[in-house]
Amino acid sequence: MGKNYHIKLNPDPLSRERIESHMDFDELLRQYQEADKQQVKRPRVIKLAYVALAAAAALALLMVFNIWNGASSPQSESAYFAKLPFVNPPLSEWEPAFISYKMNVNQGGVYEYESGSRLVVPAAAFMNDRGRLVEGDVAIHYRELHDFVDFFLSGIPMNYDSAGRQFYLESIGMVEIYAEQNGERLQMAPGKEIQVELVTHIRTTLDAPLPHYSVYTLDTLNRNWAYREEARLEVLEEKLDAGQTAYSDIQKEWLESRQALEKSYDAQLAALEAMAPKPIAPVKPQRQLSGQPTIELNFQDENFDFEGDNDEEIALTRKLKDAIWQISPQSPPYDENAFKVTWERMRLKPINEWDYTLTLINDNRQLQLIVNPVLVGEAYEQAMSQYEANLAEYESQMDYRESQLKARRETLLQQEADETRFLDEAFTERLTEAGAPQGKPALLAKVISRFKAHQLGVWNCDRPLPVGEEKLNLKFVDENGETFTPRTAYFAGKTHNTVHRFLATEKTALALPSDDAHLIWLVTDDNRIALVRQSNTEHKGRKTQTVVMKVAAEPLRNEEDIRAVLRF
Amino acid sequence: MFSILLTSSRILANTTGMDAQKKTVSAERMQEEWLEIQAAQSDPAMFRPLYVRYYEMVFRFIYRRTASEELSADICSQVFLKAMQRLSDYSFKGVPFSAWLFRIASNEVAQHFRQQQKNRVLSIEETQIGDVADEIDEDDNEALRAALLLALDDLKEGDMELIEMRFFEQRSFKEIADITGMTESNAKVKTYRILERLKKRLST
Repeated sequence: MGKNYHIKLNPDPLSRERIESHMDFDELLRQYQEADKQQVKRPRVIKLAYVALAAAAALALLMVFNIWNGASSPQSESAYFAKLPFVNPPLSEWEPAFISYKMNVNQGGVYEYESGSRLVVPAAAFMNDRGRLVEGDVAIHYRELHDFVDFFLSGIPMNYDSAGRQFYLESIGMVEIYAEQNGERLQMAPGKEIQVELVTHIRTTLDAPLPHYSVYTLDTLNRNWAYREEARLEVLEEKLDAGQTAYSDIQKEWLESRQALEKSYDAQLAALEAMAPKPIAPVKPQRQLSGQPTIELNFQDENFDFEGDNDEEIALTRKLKDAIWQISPQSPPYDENAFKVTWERMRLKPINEWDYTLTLINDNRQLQLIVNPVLVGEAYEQAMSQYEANLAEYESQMDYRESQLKARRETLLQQEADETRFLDEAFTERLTEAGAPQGKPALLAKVISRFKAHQLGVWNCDRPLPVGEEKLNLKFVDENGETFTPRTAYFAGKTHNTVHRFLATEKTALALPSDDAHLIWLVTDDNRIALVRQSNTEHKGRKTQTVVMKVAAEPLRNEEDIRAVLRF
Repeated sequence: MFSILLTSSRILANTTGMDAQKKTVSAERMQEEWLEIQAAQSDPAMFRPLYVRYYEMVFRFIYRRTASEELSADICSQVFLKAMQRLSDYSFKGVPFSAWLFRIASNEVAQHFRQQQKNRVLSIEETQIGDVADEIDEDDNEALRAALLLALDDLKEGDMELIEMRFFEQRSFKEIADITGMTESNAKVKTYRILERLKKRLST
């Protein structure tokens, strides 16, 4: 204890959750309104009494007028949602859970999710809210959301405003990532990106091109989604859509025959390519980046370890005989005093052709850097001349190889196309004979969507669907005919993987899909789900239709119970 | 055993320097936030997004100065209540809204300890003492750290706030200037002078 300050060394960190447990905006608003009323009682306000009275009278008149006309208290949907948190889980107990990984920021890491999705986090990727790169261990929190129930439970809005035009985002899956250290939320460091490989599923048909999707991030500040890039999708596997039951044996056989045919030709094409192995492309030498620190490594030192196979080390030693090692701009932060320390051992481990992890070790500590082999001065010029000569030779060998293989490859591809056509004709005929509807099999494709996340938060692979122009006037009541107090309600269509939230009142204008089975539901005051299932929508002009929402009898004990209630 | 030979010795500013990465709020973002503030000025319920955004930041600011979770929660509530009550007087002057909140928080903390007639808390990570030692060109060791803590304890509240924000909260001079209401250059000069005084005190 000092004489002027109570100095507390290394204070206990507080987690974000602890801090958030004290948040209560509604109570704050109540206190504010209470204090405001107290102020109104002060004598100086008496001067304004006439004005206030007049305003109150006008307000009372307006209310009487509204009641006379049978109008409910007007509340715009945008004003209603503006007062709520943008991400607002309706049943917080069953919000989709995050999985957490511990990561040393100096090393980065690769993390795999149970769905097969992967995150590749680079080293030195995070900074705190004061803009400083953090060191040591951080916690990465990750979750995936795949269907409309996930979206509903997460409270993430799927509405998208594009220059004033309203859309729903039909998603094939989204991820949410955040990072923490000692309970403090972190941000991505400038220039750093997490590679995301999201494994998800798309409904399609045999031979149909994949639908076009984009990647959006949730902008919680502007309460909207922000477009980032086109989604890059790769099909991993296709199987018959589980929804197909009639004639599914024929369709399954069709799909399997096509897959076997494709596999056979892929093997033949691979064998053809292997007959003439590709020459090895020369690696372009790299010059030292201006001003970037470099260090010298002695491969002959007995305390130097190379973590790769012997051949690789020998090749590297030859290739890099004139190289020096530049500390990569991607390297974790280090203290320059590290270069005044005597290190006892050193380890070099290749990450790729360009990046290597260098670990410096002594009794007390380890330091990890990312380094790159670079050349300077004359050595670089000589290496570039050699590289250009090797590149010309490589291109010449590739041209010769292509001339040898081209004709045979085209023949194989033509044969594959012919056999595929015969196969399709045969199966179409079989379906006709069986009296089945025509068309290629409906498939569920397992796909991987790859993108780079340069910020933490929610990343969504989706496509915008326009909100219908024609709106119905709906009145939502419970089974006893009682209207609900205005509250958030939701609808989801069977064929589009999205959920739309809206304000349900006594008179709600809502555009519903006319040709798609859909669910409309809301959460009651006692956390139960009241819903209605509709197979289609009948438009009745401006007349208000009453929608009876039936409270689901099933208890909601877990996510499965909620899914059972929200089935089409 | 060997030492690493640094063949080119450019020092990375962001490994040791305090100026390398500053927390900044873009002018565009401040303008967007100003729209939210204006909405909250006409409807207090619209203050919610600002409350949600800044609650944790303000709470941590207070917690560093109280070291008590419950007390921080109480003061934090007062800060946001006062912010709502004074919001109608707030106008955008190119300074982040967070700076305005921190200023209220700083006053509330000071007022609390004045009323309680207790010394306020100064939270320091041990490594941060080393940062101050580096800045005044002293070799960091146990004895110096102890002496530095004694010297810090003698600082006036205003001087301590500058050292605290700069070294223990790693704020940029721009941010410190926004919070304290002084100019950025004045914040720099004052900090430099306080460091000089600390250095002199340690050398005697």
